Amino acid sequence: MFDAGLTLESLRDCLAGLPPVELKGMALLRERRPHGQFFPQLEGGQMGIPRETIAEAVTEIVAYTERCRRAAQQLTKLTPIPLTTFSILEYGL
Amino acid sequence: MNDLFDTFGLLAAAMLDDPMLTLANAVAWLDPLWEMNEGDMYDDGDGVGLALCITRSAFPDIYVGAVERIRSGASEKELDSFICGEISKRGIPLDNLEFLGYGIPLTACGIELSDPDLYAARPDLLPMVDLFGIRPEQEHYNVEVPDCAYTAGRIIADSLVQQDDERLKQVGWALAWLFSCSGNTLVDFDDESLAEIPPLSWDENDLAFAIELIEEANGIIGDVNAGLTLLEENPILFAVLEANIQRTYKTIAKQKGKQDEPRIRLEWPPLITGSDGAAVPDSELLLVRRDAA
Repeated sequence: MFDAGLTLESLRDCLAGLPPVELKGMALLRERRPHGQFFPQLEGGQMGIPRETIAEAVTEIVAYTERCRRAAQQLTKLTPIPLTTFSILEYGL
Repeated sequence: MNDLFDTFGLLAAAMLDDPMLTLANAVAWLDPLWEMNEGDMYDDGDGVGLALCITRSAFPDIYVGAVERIRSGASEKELDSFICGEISKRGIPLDNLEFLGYGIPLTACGIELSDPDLYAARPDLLPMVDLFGIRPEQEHYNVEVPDCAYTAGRIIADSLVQQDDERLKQVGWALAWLFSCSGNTLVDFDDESLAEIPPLSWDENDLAFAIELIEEANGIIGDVNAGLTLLEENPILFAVLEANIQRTYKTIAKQKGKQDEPRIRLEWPPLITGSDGAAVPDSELLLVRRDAA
């Protein structure tokens, strides 16, 4: 990866430049959050969110959670890279 | 307005301005059980926990309903009842959450003709199986079924389900059930046979397949019951069935073990009583498939 010209800094910039994820559930929460409460009611609430819409939002969040979990698993399998030019002063011995 | 209440609203609104906090809030709202592990629930014997894990991926709207009920303080029994009821509405009959952990629960409707318990439980079948030379004797652990009974049963069932008259088709399905050749696993397999097959998982494809399987089995069993009733109530049809069984047995006997597919001419009467005019008193020349089952 680094042989292809991608440096640690450019990788960091690339990741930092990713736009924040936007899921249906987040939009629903912004649109339907009742005043004085954290969350809209899922069923029988006055906000009138259709059941199908809620189901779609849950499906998307569940899938996103699963993708994140798999990504985290893959990251744990990466070969460690010694950072010889980087000093962490807090742990300096 | 209470100042403290305002602070609460301010904080809630501020959280929605930050993408990461909005995501965290959305997860807390829609998927609060995201950390639950199906394996742990199974190991702990937590039926409701396992049901929540399964509904989370297989039935997200049921999961949402369950989460809402948990937030409103529903008891475990109420949750059990809600989840079972909702899953049953989707075409998977479920009486108890404890069965969820073993995959999609399926009920076998099939029978084993050599099992003497069958005839104790269903004495109404005795006149019909007698036509095929199956005669259960008391004190015997096994009922003898003639070698050609299954072949003949399949040939006759195949012929009947191809008739135009819906009621003859129903008799055909009754025979298909009796000789385990309907093509539907739930209709053809008894509990013991079904237990030997790995259960269907709760993934999307297996779920769609299970719903289709159960729906088809319910339709066939409805026809089976109607067909058995028709045979009980219609002595003419019963006599014709007997004649066709004998004809089929003779044809099979003439084969003398040959593997060629027997050609048998079977005739079925029009069912005049209560007929809606759909019956056709035809005869047919059948090329019987050996792999019809």
